[in-house]
Amino acid sequence: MHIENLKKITLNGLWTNNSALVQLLGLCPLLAVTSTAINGLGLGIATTITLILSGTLVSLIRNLLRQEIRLPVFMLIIASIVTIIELTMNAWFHELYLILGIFIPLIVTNCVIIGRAEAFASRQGVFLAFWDGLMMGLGFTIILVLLGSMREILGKGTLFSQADLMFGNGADWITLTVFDNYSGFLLAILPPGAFFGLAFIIAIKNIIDNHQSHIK
Amino acid sequence: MTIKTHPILLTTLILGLFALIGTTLVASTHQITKEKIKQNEYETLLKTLNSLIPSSSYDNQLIKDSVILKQNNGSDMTIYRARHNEQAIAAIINTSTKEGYNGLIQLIIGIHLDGSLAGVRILNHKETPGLGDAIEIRKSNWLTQFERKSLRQPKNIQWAVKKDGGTFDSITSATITSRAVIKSIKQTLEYFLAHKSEIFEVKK
Repeated sequence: MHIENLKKITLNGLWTNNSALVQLLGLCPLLAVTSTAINGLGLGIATTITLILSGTLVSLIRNLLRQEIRLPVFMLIIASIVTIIELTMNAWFHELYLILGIFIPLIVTNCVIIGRAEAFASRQGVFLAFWDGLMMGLGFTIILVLLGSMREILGKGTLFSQADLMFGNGADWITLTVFDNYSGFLLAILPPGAFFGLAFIIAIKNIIDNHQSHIK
Repeated sequence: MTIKTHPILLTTLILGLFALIGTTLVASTHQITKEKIKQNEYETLLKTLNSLIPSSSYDNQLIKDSVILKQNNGSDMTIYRARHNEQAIAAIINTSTKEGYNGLIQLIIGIHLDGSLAGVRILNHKETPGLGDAIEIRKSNWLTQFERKSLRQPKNIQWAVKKDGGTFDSITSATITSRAVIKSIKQTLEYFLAHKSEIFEVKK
């Protein structure tokens, strides 16, 4: 029963109810930062941490809350968490902060976080809420990296460029040059490219879903 | 029991309690991290400044020995002055341009006493990611072509991108950004030449 639940949450977060592809939540940061795969990964990690923390906390205090004030309290919790993460990173992980720092305020604008707090964490046990945060975050991160990779390959002809910014100087080797002497495709990097790319991924997901329901 | 008859009171109390806890946590984190963040920012700034003027070439407190002057267009710019044995050797000028593709580009420009460029770095910008952001030194070495250049070499109208008949490469698909940065460097060099003595003599 417990395992069944976890499986369901996992599938939900990664596929059936994926926050970027199905719920279409958090589009503002999603479309804004996915010009490269590494940028997408950065926002994905920061969002996942926030989702896990806010989900766990909201679940812990769920019995203290009353209907009328649950949303302001969720907002308070999320805003506090994000601010504390930002300050802590700035103080003790300054190098990382200089790279991920710009993404962190964007997380507050991501409605998937308050969405999960309201729809899931406030009704479930702590561990399930934690797991849901992790899976929702992972699902979001995968799409961010996928969209970032597509746009980067099309737009610049590289993949995982600037990996050293996130993993230190030894990580240059991750960067792949997909096309040599590529002249670049501006549209993919500009905001419209993000919309086209996301639409493309959603379309593919829908094709797969349709195909599977036909088999059944 | 007042709580039973006034559920709104309890609700208010709970909300107030959460607001209090949230604010306390954020405020205490801010208190704990404040000094560390300030020190980090100081070190990051010093590191950037030292990448223009090596720390071995001066012996004063670069960041403390700074002055804020009015630019020709009325905006403020911060100037860090490097000295060795009280002798001025270089200035690092923090300036900005609005002529980029999108919003403000903030630059720091290091200039040796003889008017040649020690180097240029971008502190802040909102240029198109993947294109105009090649002005950042960690993303491309476009900025390094300006090192050791001065107003004597290349001459006046040659301070432009090749497309405009100048000597400098422009960033592919980001000519506007390139033009803005080059123009800003040129103007800063001109300002430096015209106000050299003032820049180093003015007291804080």
